[in-house]
Amino acid sequence: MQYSMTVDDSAVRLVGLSKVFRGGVTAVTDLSFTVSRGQVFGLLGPNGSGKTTTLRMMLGLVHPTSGSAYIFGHRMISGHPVLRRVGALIERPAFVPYLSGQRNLELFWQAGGQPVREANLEPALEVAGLGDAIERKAGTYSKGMLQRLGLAQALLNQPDLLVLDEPTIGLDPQETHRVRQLVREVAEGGSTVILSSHILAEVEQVCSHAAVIDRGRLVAYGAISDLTRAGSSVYVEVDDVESAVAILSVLTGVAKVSREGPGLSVRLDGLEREALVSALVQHGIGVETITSRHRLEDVFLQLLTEKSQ
Amino acid sequence: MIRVEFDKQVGRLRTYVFLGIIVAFPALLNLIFRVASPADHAGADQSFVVLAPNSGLNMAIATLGHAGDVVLPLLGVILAGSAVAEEASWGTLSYLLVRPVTRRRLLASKLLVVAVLIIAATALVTLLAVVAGLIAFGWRPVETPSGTTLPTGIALARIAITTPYMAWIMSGVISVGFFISSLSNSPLNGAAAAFGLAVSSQILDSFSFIGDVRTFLPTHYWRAWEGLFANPVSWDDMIVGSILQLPYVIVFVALAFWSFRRKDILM
Repeated sequence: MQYSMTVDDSAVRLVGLSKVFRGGVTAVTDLSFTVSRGQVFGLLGPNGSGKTTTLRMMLGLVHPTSGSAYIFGHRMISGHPVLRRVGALIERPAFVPYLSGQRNLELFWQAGGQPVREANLEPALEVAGLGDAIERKAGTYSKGMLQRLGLAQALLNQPDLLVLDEPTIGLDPQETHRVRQLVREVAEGGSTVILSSHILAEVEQVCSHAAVIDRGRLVAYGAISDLTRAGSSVYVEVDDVESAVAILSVLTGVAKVSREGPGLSVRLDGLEREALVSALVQHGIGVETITSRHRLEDVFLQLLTEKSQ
Repeated sequence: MIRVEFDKQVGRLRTYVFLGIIVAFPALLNLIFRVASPADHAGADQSFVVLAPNSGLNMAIATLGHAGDVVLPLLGVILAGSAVAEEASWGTLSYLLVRPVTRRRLLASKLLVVAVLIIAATALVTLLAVVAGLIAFGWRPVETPSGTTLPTGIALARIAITTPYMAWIMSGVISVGFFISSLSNSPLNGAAAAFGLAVSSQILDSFSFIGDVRTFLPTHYWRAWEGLFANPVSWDDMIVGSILQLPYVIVFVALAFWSFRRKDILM
């Protein structure tokens, strides 16, 4: 028998993480995944799927009912010294309302036991981009300003691991673009980024890896390039939806047909796209659009439709 | 951490409102006693209130009685009740705890700051009560309800001893407020619970037919410092009262630490 010692080089590792809140609400069930160092990792899921609870357990804010979270190999407990290397924006940015933005950042920093001069204050303030408003009371800030100040706060310690929970919520398109840019810059600096989102496109654009969770369970996990490989379903728009449904439902090689907006979502089970189009055309149905969906879209849309049913 | 918690209290409107109350209370009381004399309506009652106009220090003692019953406990329970819960209500509690700071350390810093502020408030009320009394009623020896007279120097020294006693004797009620604060997401809950406890305890304490059980009420010995102005000084009630705060403080502070360690921080 041979024993081998493995060095844990993961940034974050979740092992069988579960959370049942008092009152019996199950938020997360047996969640396991690993985020390697340097990845930009997307945690994707519909609202209420357990993303925030997962991140809170990861950071030691919520106690798991079972399982563990590890950050840089350290089993997470509240206030663990490894948090020195972590920056976080969780759920919503929050500040002491009667103190200025700048004072808030300074006190946040000092609460960690480090002198203000060691903080990455100037670059962080640049991220916040609040100008003179940084001297104003945080209670007077708009949602976008708070969000930017929250990002700045998360970057104060030039974190090796940056955890961002829905970072673009409440931001206008221009600000959203800036946040995505920022995430890329942080990642280029060698840091690991975990970003939660309920927006598929955001994760696709920014992340190198992703986990999709629904109702607290892992439903897909891997590199974005794998997850976005051509999937097994297509979206079709036709001139006669009724007849198209009737035809496709009985066609061999079609797993499921469902209406979606003005068109149809068709899950294929062996049938080629060309064959599907010709089948429709043979029956005199005009095909206006056909698009392939990749796996992540498949998974995610399926979740959303199941949820709305 | 402790510095940070102090800094949060400085430059805060609430702190100035509290300061204003602490300054206004002795001033107002002195003004009322100057305008209307309690002795005219007292009958045979010889409490410190009736004796207040006899000297500045008598007035100070009367002022402290009322400050210790209502004003200081009110400020104290607001400070303690909001200590943790207001961070939760702002949402900043999560951010305090994603720093490399243990929950125990955070809670200990908060508790220490509450304690120091309460002691400071008590000392300031005492000082201002003396100053206001001396301005309004002059530098004369203290007349005690038992009919004896205390020289000003001795009276001042004994007034100084009231500060630590008054601050400590509130600690049972304050601990309850702090415990509730560690659980709650609303800063009012702790203050309301602790103030409710203080008021109920004072009401129960007024029912003398209940018997000796009353001595275990957290507020029973709140006025025991008046024994400092008896002749000779009666220390017994002050000592018993001080010791009886211990079970309240130990139990509720321990509960606060225990529950805060287990708490899921969702705010």
